[in-house]
Amino acid sequence: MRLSLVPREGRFYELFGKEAALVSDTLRELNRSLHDGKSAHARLRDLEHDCDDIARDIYNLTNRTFTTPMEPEDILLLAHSLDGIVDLAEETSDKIDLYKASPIPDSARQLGDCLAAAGAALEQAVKNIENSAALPPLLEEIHRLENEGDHLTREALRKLFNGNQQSPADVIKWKDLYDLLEASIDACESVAEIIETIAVKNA
Amino acid sequence: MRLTPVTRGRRFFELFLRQGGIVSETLTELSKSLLEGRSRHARLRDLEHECDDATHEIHKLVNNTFATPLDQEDILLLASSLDDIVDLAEETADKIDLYRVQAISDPAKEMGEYLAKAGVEIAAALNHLEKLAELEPHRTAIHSLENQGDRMLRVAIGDLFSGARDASELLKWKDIYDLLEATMDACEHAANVMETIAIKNA
Repeated sequence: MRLSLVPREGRFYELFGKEAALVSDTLRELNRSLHDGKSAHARLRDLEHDCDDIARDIYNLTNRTFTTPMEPEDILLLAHSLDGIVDLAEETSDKIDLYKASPIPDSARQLGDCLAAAGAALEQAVKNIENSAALPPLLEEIHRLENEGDHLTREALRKLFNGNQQSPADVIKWKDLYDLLEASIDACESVAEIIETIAVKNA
Repeated sequence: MRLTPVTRGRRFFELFLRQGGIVSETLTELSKSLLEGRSRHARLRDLEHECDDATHEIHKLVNNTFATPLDQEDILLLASSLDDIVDLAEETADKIDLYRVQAISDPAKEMGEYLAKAGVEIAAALNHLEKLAELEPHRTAIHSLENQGDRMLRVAIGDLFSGARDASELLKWKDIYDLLEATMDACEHAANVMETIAIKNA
């Protein structure tokens, strides 16, 4: 086997591309389950494990590689933060099942749409991390979606606390689920910020 | 007293070991209080103050040291992630008292035992900050305790909602389970910080 630096660099980008595709798949599956009102947890758990494996591969590769294409701590931070999104989405889906939270309100579905769109933009952003023309609009789109998500969450909470028909248990359940959906979108935004920092450093 | 970079370097590791000892003792105390159903909040508050002191000493030492053995930001990040564990454990113990929780549930007791184990692993891992190969088994053990704890607590939270309870019981236990989970997450976070440090300095 020939050892050169270039294939190893390529291997980092390949692994990040895979990890980002998993993030996008995960958020799309979560969104679908919110719209269909059917559990996606088994599938999301598998995706979460796949993402753990890739994050671990990236860690190991960083540890074995002398010259990495970005600073090692940036690589680890990006890998770990992408993994964080998948963890939150998996937790959301698990809790929807555990709480027997149905029916799913419209606000939660709209948040799901936001998340799926943010996942798709994030996948493209990771794949274009070195493309200074394509990257900015993708990152901007993620920030826009996060703003939209914030707005939707607040509206959803307003409705949750204004409706007198809800039982206290339902209020607690949905408060928690909305917080998790919001945390998932926030996690997408913080990855966008990490990508931006890396792109600036490596420009 | 002679000050050489070597002694200062060792001083950092000594302070981290002290923090590790406090983390482990704190989590053991929390676990005992859950098992016995008796408050140990006074002791946990003392430990929290001791940990604050150690964190503060690390900050001072970073400011006074020209060549630190690890990157400055890594030293500060590790010190504050260890401190976070102790803060969360203390908050958990405090809330159990404040909420006048009468009987500690089985999942909370079990989670306390997982946390005590994670504390032992963290203290041991801090001995191997510079040797990734020796750090790795501890990090893996913490990761697996976090996974087990997560799974168990999620079921416990789900069960809260299926039993007929009043709203304040629901809220109290939801909060306590969340805090126990956050304490374990903080252990995993500290382990990840240690791993990143070890990889950078390998």
